[in-house]
Parts: sequence; structure tokens; C-alpha cells
Amino acid sequence: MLGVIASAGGLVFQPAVLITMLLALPIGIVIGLLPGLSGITAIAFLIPFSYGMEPLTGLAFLLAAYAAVSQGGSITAILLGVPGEVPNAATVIDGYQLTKRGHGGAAIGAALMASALGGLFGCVVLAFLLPVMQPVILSFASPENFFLSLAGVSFIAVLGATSPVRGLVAGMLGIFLSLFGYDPVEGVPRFWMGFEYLLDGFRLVPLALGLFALPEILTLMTTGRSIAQPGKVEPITYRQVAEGALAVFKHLGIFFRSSVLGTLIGIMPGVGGSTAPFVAYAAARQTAENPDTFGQGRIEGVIAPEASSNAKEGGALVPTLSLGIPGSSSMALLLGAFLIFGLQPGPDFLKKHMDIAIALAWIVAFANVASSFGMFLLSRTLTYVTRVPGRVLAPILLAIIVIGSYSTDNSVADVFFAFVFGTLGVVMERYQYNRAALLLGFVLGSTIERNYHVSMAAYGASFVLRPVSIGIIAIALILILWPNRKRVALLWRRA
Amino acid sequence: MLWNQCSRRVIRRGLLTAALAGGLAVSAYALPAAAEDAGGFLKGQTVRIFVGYSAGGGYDDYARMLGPLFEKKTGATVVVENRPGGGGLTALNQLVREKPDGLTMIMLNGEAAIMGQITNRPGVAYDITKVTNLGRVAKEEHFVLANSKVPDNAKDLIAYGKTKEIKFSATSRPDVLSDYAAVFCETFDLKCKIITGYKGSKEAGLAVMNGEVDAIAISDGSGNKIAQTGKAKVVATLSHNRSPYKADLPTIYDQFKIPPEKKWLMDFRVDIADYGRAIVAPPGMPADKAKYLQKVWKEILTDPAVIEQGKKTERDIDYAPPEALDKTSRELLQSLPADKRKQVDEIILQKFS
Repeated sequence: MLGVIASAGGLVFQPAVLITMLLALPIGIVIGLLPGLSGITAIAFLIPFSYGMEPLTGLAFLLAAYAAVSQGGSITAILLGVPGEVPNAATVIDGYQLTKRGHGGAAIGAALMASALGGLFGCVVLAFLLPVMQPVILSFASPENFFLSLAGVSFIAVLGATSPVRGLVAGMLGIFLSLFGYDPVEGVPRFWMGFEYLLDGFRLVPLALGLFALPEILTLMTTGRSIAQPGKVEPITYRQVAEGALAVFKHLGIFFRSSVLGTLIGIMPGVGGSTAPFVAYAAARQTAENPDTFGQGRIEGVIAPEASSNAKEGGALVPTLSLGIPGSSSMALLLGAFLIFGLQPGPDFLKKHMDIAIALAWIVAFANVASSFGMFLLSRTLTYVTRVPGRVLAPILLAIIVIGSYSTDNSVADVFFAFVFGTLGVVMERYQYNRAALLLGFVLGSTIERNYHVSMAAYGASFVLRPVSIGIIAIALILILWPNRKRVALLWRRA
Repeated sequence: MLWNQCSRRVIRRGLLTAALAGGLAVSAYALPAAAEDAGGFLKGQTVRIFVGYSAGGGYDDYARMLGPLFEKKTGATVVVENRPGGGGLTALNQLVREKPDGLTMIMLNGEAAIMGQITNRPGVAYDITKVTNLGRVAKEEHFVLANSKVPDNAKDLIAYGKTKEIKFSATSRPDVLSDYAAVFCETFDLKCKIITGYKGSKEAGLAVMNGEVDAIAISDGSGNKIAQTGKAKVVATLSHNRSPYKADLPTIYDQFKIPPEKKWLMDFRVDIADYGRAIVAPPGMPADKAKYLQKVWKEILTDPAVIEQGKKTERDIDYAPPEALDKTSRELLQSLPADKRKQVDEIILQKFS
């Protein structure tokens, strides 16, 4: 094994591979900074440029850009309150509040360090578990996916901050919106009202951009103020960013727990990586002192989701490489890239190309660290965005949002619905309903429906008695009840 | 003044005459050139190839692999546009509304398109018999795979299924996985349950590997990958021809004598596969443009170097001419009697739920 790891290192530290990665990193960062574009966009955009490259060089090119995208997405989540990708929505909750209080630099520092180390963690786990992971992956089936997704929804009540009821309502609305379009089980369209666009339901990118970005743009336009509130502004320095980075080491327990959660969830191919940051955030909140202060600008609320978000990518590579089953939507695209390079992920791949598999883990780790360092250098400049007057920043952001919405599927309808959801976002913000909860409900809705149906059809009602499922239910209940554990214990003793 | 008016009139007429003569000369020069260069309408133009799925999937790979070859042959610039939705059929709805000027095509999932039309799937707004077929790119045979919970050969599996339920995985109904499973079960009168709801064929394949279901009916390429994990075995080839992935396994037709009252159903579904992945253009294309495009695609898809490149990247090329596709779609859609169409609907969409 050590020989394979050394061989993998030798493959990675070749000039062609390193130079290619360094070329890809800025592209990934730029794509991540642009709202509406995601890691999938980066891979799809760069695949044609990788034709003709050697396999490892080409894969390094794609993976490096992909790893860098999430760093850019964290920055927009913290500085603008607009998640670059769905997982970044959990970072918005506390990250944006920190920015409004003038601590955007610290939030960025914490996010970058947590991302870099979380990505490293995921890759180390990947490297050691790859040879033995197949039986673990195969033990996760539809019931486990159902319960994990349901646990994510139950955490929506937690994410409702001061009002669990409003959090639940927002989550249920998100699930309702996910019902539009083709029923994932029977293939019959629901609520499409004769509009071809709605055959596939609402699209995630217009929903996320509209829900999060447009209310903020409206605030900027009407108040004319900058994002960072006047009177709470500190000089922006690298020192502030560095202090945020060091905060990760002051909260090592949160970091490790979040990284483990992210890696585990990433390994499960049926769940999708979006839930990992929210589960990690909820775990951090529930186990912290003064959990009610989450949502008002706690640094732990940035560390937890960012660590898990990057750790999950190492986890997602596990089923992708060991079974040829993509651990996330982006990995599905990457599988196509493997074929272009003449490589076929699966058990055979690990037997013949274990060194390439480990080299890919090295590449993701290096890309995480390098892109974090690159963003660190840009952080001070980027944080100045929060000081730009609203009447200048708002039109620029509006243009970017419109382009971002349109660019997903080249559809004007996406832009229209971005404004529809923007209106909804304004109303939700006004009446203090949690927008992240709606987004999570929307993302998880079809997964819950799909996995519930399959579980009932394949196992009958006894699917709830599977050992791993019982474990997930137990952990979810503990997490939800933990802040009230003394009251629960008292009730138990009285009973 | 009169002289000025006259001279102006003369000059004007002279200029008009000269312009007319010049125009005739230019067109006289251009016409033979246009007649010789049938593909001139494409040079310097942008050609769009729609793909009804997100980037990175099989259809996208084919379009991006073949696009540069089309550019080389025609001088056009090819742009692949991903237009996911409706199981790949929204893009076809959009294609048939485009102008038939040769500048828009689609890399089509022909099987899904035909099944969608036959089963009157909501949202279908095309008639596959009217599109301009330009050539088939690839065709897949289909396997039935089973895991260790059930017998691993066709004969024993069929005997098993007469008395015990076999669970198949699929994404939804209709889709390729559920269609073939339903047809297989109906043909041999098996007790089956088709469990829909899996996100994609890979997730459906994982369900066979982890024992959540017993079997899957899937394309031979994907089935071969599942079989390589050792968690499932290829049991039958549902096709008229043996699969290159399992050349030693006789087809279902070679293994069993299927009675005529069931054979029509298996033939019907297997024949739809003949349409395969195809390059298609909007209906009503002028004959000369259609002929030129069909010629270009034939040259690309029968080029040994292209076929070899496809093999290397597991994107096999299996060309069939447009006339064959026309015949397939018309025969399947127009020749099926009403009572058989009703049976197809019931078996494909409802039975074995």
C-alpha cells in the first residue's frame, strides 16, 4: 500500500500535471465566484479543452477546476449572501451575518481553512478506504437513503433558528415545489398546467439565485447602503482573514465531526452531497453552547458546513472509482471524462490502476489547499465588495444573476422564474421564514419520495428495521433532542 | 434644362442596365458553383446539435465526439446544446419547431422517442414518423442480469419466475429498463414486480448489486459493467443478434421457442431498439439539403478511424441509413393494430407494478 501511495505521488508531482492544475485553478475560482455556475459547469466547460491530454493530466485539469469552484461559491455565500452552489446555502446562514457585522474577512478565513483541511481529510480517507469500500457502499440501500434525507428535513426545523414551526413550513413549501414536473416513480407529470417548461419542474439554479440574491439586491437598491453595515466596519486586513483561519484550530471538534459527516454522506451514492453541509451545521448548532445564537453570525456556523462540503467530495470519489457509480452529479460528469481518456472506473480499475486512483485523491487534496491559498490572497480585495455602495453594486449583481439564471439551460423561462422566486424570497425574509430550509426541502423532496417508494416496494414496511436505518434514526433523534436532553431525561424518569 | 433631364434619364438607364448585366453575370457565375457545391449552405454557418440530456452522459459524449468531424467535412461550426428535460424528449419537441434549414439537429434517444409517442406520454409534441432522419449512430442490445438471489441462467430463471416473484429495478415507466423487463416477464408469463423510482440506470444497477432487487434489464454496455463487479450475471440477451459483450450467450430467440401470441410483443420491443441513437433534423427539410447531410453523416459514421475511436472510448458506432430508420418508425407506429396498441400500453405502463 505504501508503495502504491508513493507511486501515486510520483504520478502527481510531474511538471505537466502540476502546471495543468495551476492553470485550471483560476478558472475554477472564477466559475465559483459567478452565481449560477457550479462545479458541473466547470467540468462540462473544460472537458473539450482536455481532449488530447494524457489521462492523468486531463483528469487533474478537470478535478483541480472542480475543487476550486466550491471555494469561490463560499466567498459569494459569505460576502453577498448568495450561495455559489446548494451546499453553500448552509454557509450563508452565519457567514453573511458575519459580513454584515463587518467580520467578512474572518468568515472568509474560516471558510477557506475549513474547506482546505476538510478536503484534505476527505482525500486521506479516500486513499485508505478505496481498496476496502465496496462492501460498505453496498450496505447502503434505499431505506438508508430515505432516512438520511428525512433526517435532513427534520434538521430544517433546527435551522428555523428562533422558530422551528416557520422552519418546518418553509421546508414543506420546498418539498411541495419539488413535486412539480414528472413524478420520479410513475413518470406522470404533476402540476405542469400544459407548460412544457414545467414538465421537469422548477429548476434549482433560478430558485436558489432568486430566493437568496434578489432580496439582497432589493435591499441594496432601496437603502443604497453597502452590505457591511456602517458603524460596524473594521479595516480589512489579511490579519482578519488569518484570525478567521486560525479559528478552525480553536474548534477542532466541530471541524473533525463535520469532516467525518461529510465524508460518510459523500460515500453514500444515493443521497447526494447537498445534505452534508446542512447535517454538519445542525450537528454543530445542537451540540454548541447557546445554540440560539447560531444564525446571528457564529464562526462555527461557517466552519461546520465548509469542512463537510469539501470532505464530501473525497467521499464521493469512493463509489465513483470503486464501483463506477457516481457519488454526486458532478462525479457523473467526471465518469464521462474517464471514458474519454480510456479509463473505466469500477472494481477492475482499482485492481489495475490503484496508483491513478490514489493520485486523483492527491490531486483533489492539492487543489483544495492551493485554491484556498489563492482565495486567501484575493480575500482582502474581494471583501471590498462589501463596502461598495448599494446603488452601484445592485445593478451589477442583478446583471450577473440574470446571466447566471439564463446560462444553465439557455432558457428565458429560467430568468422569469428567478424573479418569481425572488419575490417569494422577499416575502420570506420579511416574515422571517428560513430560505435555506425551503432550498433544502426542494433539493431533498424527490429523493425522499423516490427512496420511500422503492423501500416500500422492495422491503415492505419492515424496511424501518434495517440496522443501518435504525442507527440513522437514533443519531437524528439524539441530535434533535440534545439541547433539551435534561428535560427529556426528567420526563423519562417521571414516566 | 430639357437636355439635363434627358441626360439624367439616359445615365440612370445606363446605370440600371449595367447593374442588371453585372447581376446576371455574377449569378451566372454563382449558379453552376451552387449546383456543384451542395453543402455550400453550411460553410461558415453555425450548426447546433441538441442533446436531450445534461452534459457528460452518453448522448452528450457522442455529440461532442462527432461534432468536430462534422465541422471538418462541412466547414460549419458545430455547437452542442444540452437541453435536458422530459427524459430527453423536450429537446425533440423543440427541434421539430426549428426551421428545416439544415442548421439544427439532435442526437436523439430514438427508443425513448418512439415509446413516448406510442404510449401517448404527456408532453409529447412531435411525430417521429415526420422528422428528417440523417442516420443511426449506435444501437445497443439489451441484457437481463440477475444476482445470486435468483438462478443465473435463463432457463432456470424463467422456471423460478413461474412460481416466485422476481423484482426488477427501473427508473420510471416507460423507460428502457422497465420496458424490457415488462416485455420479458409478459413473454414468459412470469411473476414479476418492476420497482420504479431509481434515479438512473446506475442506481438501478446498484440495487441489483446490493440485493435490493433481483434482476435488471439494461443495455449491454452498462450490463457488462455491472457483471464485471461480480455481483450479478448476464442471464439473457433480449435481441435478434448476440451482443459483442457476450458473444457466447445465445439470444432469447435462439434459446427459446416463443409462441406467436407472445412473440409479436418481444419483436415489437426489440425492433424499437433498431432505431437506437440517431441524428435527426426537423421535418420538412428540402430534399437536396437532406440528401447532403445524410451523405456527410454516412461518411463520418462509416469511417473506420471513427469507428475505432468510438471503440476506444466505449462509444461504439453502428451506422444504419436513414431509410432504415424511416421504415422502423413507420412500421412500429403505423402498423400496430388498435387492440395490440392497447395491450402494449397496459403491459408497458401498468402491469407488474
